Amino acid sequence: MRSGYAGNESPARAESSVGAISHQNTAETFTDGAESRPLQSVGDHSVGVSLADNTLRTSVNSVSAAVGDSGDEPTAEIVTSTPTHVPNEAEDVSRPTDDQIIAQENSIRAAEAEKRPFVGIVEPLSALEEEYRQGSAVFRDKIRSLEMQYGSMRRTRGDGNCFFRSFMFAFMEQLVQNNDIPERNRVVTCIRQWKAKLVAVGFQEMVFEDAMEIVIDQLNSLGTAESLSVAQLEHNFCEPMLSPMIIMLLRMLTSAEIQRRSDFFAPFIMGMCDDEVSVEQFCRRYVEPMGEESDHVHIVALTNALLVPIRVVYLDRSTGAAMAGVGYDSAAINHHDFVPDSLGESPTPVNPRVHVLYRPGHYDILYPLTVTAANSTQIASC
Amino acid sequence: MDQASLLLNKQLKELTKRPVDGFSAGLVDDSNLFEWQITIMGPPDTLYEGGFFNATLSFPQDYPQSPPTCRFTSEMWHPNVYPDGRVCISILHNPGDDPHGYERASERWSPVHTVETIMISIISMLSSPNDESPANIDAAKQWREDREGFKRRVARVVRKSQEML
Repeated sequence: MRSGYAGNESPARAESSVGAISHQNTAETFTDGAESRPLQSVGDHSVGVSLADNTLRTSVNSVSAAVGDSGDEPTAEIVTSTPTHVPNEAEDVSRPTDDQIIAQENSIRAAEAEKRPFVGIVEPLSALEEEYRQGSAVFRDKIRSLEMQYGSMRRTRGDGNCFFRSFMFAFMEQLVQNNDIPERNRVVTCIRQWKAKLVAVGFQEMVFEDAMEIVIDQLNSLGTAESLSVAQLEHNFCEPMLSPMIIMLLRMLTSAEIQRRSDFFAPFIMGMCDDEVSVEQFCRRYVEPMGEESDHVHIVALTNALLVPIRVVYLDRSTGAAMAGVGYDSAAINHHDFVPDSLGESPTPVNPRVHVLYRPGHYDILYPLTVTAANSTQIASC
Repeated sequence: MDQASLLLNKQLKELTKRPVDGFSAGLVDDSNLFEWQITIMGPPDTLYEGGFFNATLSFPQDYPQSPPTCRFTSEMWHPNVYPDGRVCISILHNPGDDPHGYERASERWSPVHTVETIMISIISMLSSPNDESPANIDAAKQWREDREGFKRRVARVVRKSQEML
């Protein structure tokens, strides 16, 4: 699955890289364009991605070809010219260099991503319906099903960190709203216990201690005179310094959880990557760097690292019937509950604390209509 | 103090208190935490053994979200070092930043890196050049096709670095 790695972008990123090539996008290709990674339930590899993917591949090839060519007549000109520009014999002078194309793609991507705040306002689900008014009927039907369970959503920026950001915001927001001191106490203790475990897998304490204190301080303000408010939380998650620090910490926890339990995670990782990578390499390449998208493995690891159950609801083109193995219902929505192993044994069903909406390549936050409604209504599960 | 300064300050203190084998590090100018002066000892049992190579590490304001750049100020001859001294290794590139058509799977920048881990990567680069995505095409070609010539050229930069001491 890693073969599509370069094309694996969040919708905004996928849209822009495709846009740079085709200059035309419909709302439909936009959302479908990003390649699916998490579960087999989302299997659409669209033209959009292969385009973006091929373009990247082409630029790789032309660089290596140019390197090969220049071998015959190495000129000072090549090495002393703009370091990253390698001329290609076949290259038209008017054609932008690979470097310029990449720079342009990156800037379009960044501009697209920045149009959306890190964490957006609460919107009714009808906003989602509006987005797909011209789109696929499958999506529209599914959104109507979704409205049976969920009342509202918050969009998050599609910069590759959207899962971590959606998760942590939704989790902390719930603690604030319910002033849930017992759960706050539990998670603060849990985060503190991670200190030793992070060091044990090789992180230098100085790289995570500030971020850890920032998160713990926010949580510890609950129940005090200066308690964190939802407005403050929104502010913190959009603040250019705090926001990345929170994501960074979650990425390190996720990485450490995967490495600590490498025997468990290794088979999943082997199945995801075309080339042979070790568990540690996987973490360094796909978990720790900012902007790397989250996969099934990341979610399993994070839910276990913090012992917070998560429900991921999938809005994709798959037809519910095929996945659920029940009567045909094209509008059935798949979801998957990520339950921490230690809670999975519990005789009573574990209620997800965080609900996120997955559209191929992107996660947003979902809010159940009411807790009881979400729990009592059966939706086709995968 | 912003996060970058805090983190850089911690590293400076730590490296002063507990130096790490293989390199020494300090600030170019004591008033600026973002510009570091590094001396790398050529790793033992490599062509660079015995050399003392000076380099600068320049951190961006949004470190550790973005990587620093590293540039040798001593003369260097290596496939992964540009003729202007800039070091080209994958961990000093952001994930989205791919000027070389780097192997996608190579390890990229992440906020876990510190001066120490970067220097360890650069020392490891000196020990094992990667000629698949060369920054210095002549050096890469010589490394591949004329190993003896490459060794002589490196021996020259090692000698030069010793004379500069």
